Amino acid sequence: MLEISGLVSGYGRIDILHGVDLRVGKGELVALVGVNGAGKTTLMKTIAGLIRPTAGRIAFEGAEIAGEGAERAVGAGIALVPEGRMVFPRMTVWENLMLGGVHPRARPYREATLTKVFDLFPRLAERRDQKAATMSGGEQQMLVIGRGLMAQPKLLVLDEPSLGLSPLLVQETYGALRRLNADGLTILLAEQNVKLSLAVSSRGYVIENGRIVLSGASSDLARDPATRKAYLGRL
Amino acid sequence: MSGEVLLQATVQGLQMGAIYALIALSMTLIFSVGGLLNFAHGDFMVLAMYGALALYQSVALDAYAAAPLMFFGFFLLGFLMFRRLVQPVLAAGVLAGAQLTLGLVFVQENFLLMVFGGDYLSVPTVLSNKNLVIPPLIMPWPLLVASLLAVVMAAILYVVLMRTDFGRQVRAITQNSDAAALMGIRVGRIQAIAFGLGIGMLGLTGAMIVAQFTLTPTMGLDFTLIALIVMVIGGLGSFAGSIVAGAIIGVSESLGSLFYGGTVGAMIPYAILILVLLFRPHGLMGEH
Repeated sequence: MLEISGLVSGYGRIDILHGVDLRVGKGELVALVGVNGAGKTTLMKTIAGLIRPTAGRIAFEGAEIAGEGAERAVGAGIALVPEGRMVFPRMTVWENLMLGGVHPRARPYREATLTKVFDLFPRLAERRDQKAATMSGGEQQMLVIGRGLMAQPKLLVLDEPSLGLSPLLVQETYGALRRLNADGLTILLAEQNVKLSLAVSSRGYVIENGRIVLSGASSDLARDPATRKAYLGRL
Repeated sequence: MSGEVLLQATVQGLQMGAIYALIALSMTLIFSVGGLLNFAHGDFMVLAMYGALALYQSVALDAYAAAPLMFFGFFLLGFLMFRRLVQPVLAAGVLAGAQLTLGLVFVQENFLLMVFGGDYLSVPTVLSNKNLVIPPLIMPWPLLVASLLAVVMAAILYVVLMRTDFGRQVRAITQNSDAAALMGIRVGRIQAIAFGLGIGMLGLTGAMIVAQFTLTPTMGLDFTLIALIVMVIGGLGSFAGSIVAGAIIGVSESLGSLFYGGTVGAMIPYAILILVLLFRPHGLMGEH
């Protein structure tokens, strides 16, 4: 579904990614793990069309989308749930969700998708008319995932969904991701929380200094001495 | 002083206030898209007033009939101007954008001076010099119509911004333009439309209030200042604030002129501005 090869990307003249190769197959839940500053967010933003790569290819369902912009990525069926949540603070939950489905591709199905999102996160239905800024971190995280789903994505890309959440809320968020994946949604998940993301995913990539240094089945990665030493040992 | 005179001045002040609010609302709309303070705001409206004059002189079209045309013409002008001029300059920062609009002040004023000369001009309309008399009130029709338009336009703008997808996209860009782009919103395009609507509203307003004023090429700055004051008192970016502040300024100016004469009356908006900035720096309804 998503084929990335030789991707070089960054901010201005400074490259953060130095030739990344990554593949996500239809229906998979793939984890991208690495420490802060390894290049996870840059990769996510480049996939979502917010950053124009300097070299390399991003093919989505066979079509080249690298450097075509966010509008094109959403149109192709990619939704990014960004790091740090980025809700529209002075708008209600309902308005935030409506904006998630504002793209012409998703707009005709908005009411039906909204029902599904409210089923997945009943809390959002309760807070429907509340301003996003007044909600807790966990509720805001549900909101941005819901907002991403409103775009009717074929591929949902999440950047650090567990950041700043209590363990209980992390469990809740990951439970929702697991359910979505079981229902057939393809998911690419970037996480610092290596243990958790490898537990939930089928395959994983380890990124370090802008390069993929390890990849394979998540269960193997979790057992790999190199991963254990570098990441799991710290947890 | 009789109660009737007081009532007359209050009503007239409210009507002027509605017009001030309308001008400030379009300024708020433009401010909300890219943080741009449009110093040429009043001048765009004066351009529309002269446009109404030109249409009257050339094809005898009444200013009120010309108003919808002015809206579409100015919408197009604003849209193209944003794409070709404002957007590239705004990319270099809000300050560069403000300097651009300051430059536009001189361009427009001198353009009007070249084409129409410096004499005082007025545009006769079907409503000019006609009054609606509801004892004890005497209301000039042009002022009444303009203030009603202001109320209607404010209501339309509110509905468009708060209840439509377009309005939600405008607000989304104001609140977080990166997140808006992530939704697949074409940020530049929505901004251009919003800017076009702001300038289009000025085209409409200029034609609708032209009967009330004597035209001179440099009068735009006065409108810009009033709009700025109303906007700052109401709270930058707050639509409800602009409406409330417009009414406050209109009424206080009118009552001030009544009690203390025109010179002191004209000072009152500035005095209120200073007081508001001292005690509520974010404006009456502004957000931090």
